Amino acid sequence: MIIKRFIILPAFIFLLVSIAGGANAASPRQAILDEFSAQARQADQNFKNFSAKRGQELFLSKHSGGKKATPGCTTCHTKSPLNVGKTRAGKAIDPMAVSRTPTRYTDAKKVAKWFRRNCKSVLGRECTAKEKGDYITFMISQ
Amino acid sequence: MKTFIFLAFLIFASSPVFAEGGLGAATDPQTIEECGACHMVYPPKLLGAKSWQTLLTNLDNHFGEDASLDAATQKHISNYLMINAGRHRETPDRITQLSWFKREHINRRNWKSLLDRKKLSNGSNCIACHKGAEKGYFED
Repeated sequence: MIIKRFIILPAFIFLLVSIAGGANAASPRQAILDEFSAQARQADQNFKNFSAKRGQELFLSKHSGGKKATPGCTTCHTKSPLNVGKTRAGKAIDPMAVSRTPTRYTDAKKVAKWFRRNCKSVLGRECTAKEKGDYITFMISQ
Repeated sequence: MKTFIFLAFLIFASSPVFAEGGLGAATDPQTIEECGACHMVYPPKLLGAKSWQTLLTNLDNHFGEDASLDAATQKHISNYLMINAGRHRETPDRITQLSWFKREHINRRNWKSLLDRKKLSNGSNCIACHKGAEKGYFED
């Protein structure tokens, strides 16, 4: 009886900690990536995998199609996804890297909202599914 | 009938702008979440209903920023802010364009040096000076 309790209690604590720590956040993120992957394949039959390297290029590049005040992701998110960023109105933005902000890219509605807004501001157009997947893949690698 | 109740509520809710105990904070979770993602959450009474309506229908160009929301969220926040709006004669889309704001801030002699000292480009971030601004307190 006592032994059982020793197993159940730590197991229960582990469960709580993993929920709180966002360890269960991996599968919604995968679902979001899978959706982008399907869309990317629809747009291009030769599409295979997302690339963290392409995502990094997208993140670090200066773009010209969007608004002058926001030529790149780095305008607000800084040059490293590990850093805390800053909105143009001065509010802190949690790091984009999944290692720093484990809840990132786990809420499909939120992901859609911010890609829609920020791709328009930075690129002057919506991002493609491939770009979105590359971006998230880069952030997972960070 | 619905419109009537809405209007009645609007009149009731827009009692004196500077009520005792501060302006009152925004309490709607969606409003706090969405507006607060980018900037301080302004107490709804700082603008009139018409100002909020204009702002909320032009979110795709929100002072140069794309702050667009899905239709349901936009409607919800718009209703909340309009119902809880302040009573203002002027209806600009910036709080800093209201006469009282200009009188209390921009027209004061030390305004520019204050902005410089606080490293601000304009007067939109109330909490830089008024620590309780998001809760509706501006007495300090």
